[in-house]
Amino acid sequence: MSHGHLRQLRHDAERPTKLDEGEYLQTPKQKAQYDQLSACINCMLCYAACPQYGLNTEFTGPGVLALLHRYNADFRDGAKERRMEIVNTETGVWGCTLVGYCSEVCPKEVDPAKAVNLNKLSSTMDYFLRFVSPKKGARQ
Amino acid sequence: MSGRSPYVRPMTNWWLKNPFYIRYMVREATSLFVAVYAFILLAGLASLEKGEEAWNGWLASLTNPVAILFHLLVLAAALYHTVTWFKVSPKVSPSLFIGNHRVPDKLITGVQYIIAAVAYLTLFIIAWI
Repeated sequence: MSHGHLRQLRHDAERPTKLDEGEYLQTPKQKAQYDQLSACINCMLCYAACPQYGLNTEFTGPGVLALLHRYNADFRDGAKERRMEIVNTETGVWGCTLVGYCSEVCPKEVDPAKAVNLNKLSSTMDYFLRFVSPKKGARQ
Repeated sequence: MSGRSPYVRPMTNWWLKNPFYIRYMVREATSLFVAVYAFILLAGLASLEKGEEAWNGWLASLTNPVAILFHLLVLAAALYHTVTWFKVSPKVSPSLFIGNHRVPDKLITGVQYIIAAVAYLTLFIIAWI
């Protein structure tokens, strides 16, 4: 499950502007939004540490959700909406109960627990914004 | 289907196998004590609405040694709940920035202790006067 998601995310990055518009200029603050998350080395220790993944391997899990947030938090990418489909499902962020052991064992201090829990906020916003933003509701 | 047979770790009594998991389970269990205490306070509020006799009855029930013991237990649970919650709060709050630098997690936790200390001190002073 998680390997499938990992593969899917690999090809998921999407440039919101056209190539001929030139390169992106990124401030240190914009870089700091995702810097920590990009340090992931796919060691999968967070999966070994996560009891929710141990109990249900359908759960997307900390590593993939952290990688997903790495792109969501980077303004050079425009595919957040597509990724939120993974986040919002029952096997997405809501499988996490904030045990926090994933962040404890992470050798690169990626803090996957933070990435997952920030996306609970995004997922909640997504849910409520459906009612005020008809565009989102109509999307297939 | 591939011929792979991936290792699936056994999860029986998983939370007893690691002190970190035990602390997590205790943290989650303390919320039950907080909930029970909320009901005790609600009962107090309901008795206040009923009249003086009911209110005094509720106050008297709190002086029971069992009630005092229970309150001490709830206090310990609530303190544990607070400490662990302050510890994980940087993980549930969006990253804060001062200039171009991210505010360190320890500072977020520390500021919460300061706010809590000020709030409790203010409450004690108000109750004292």
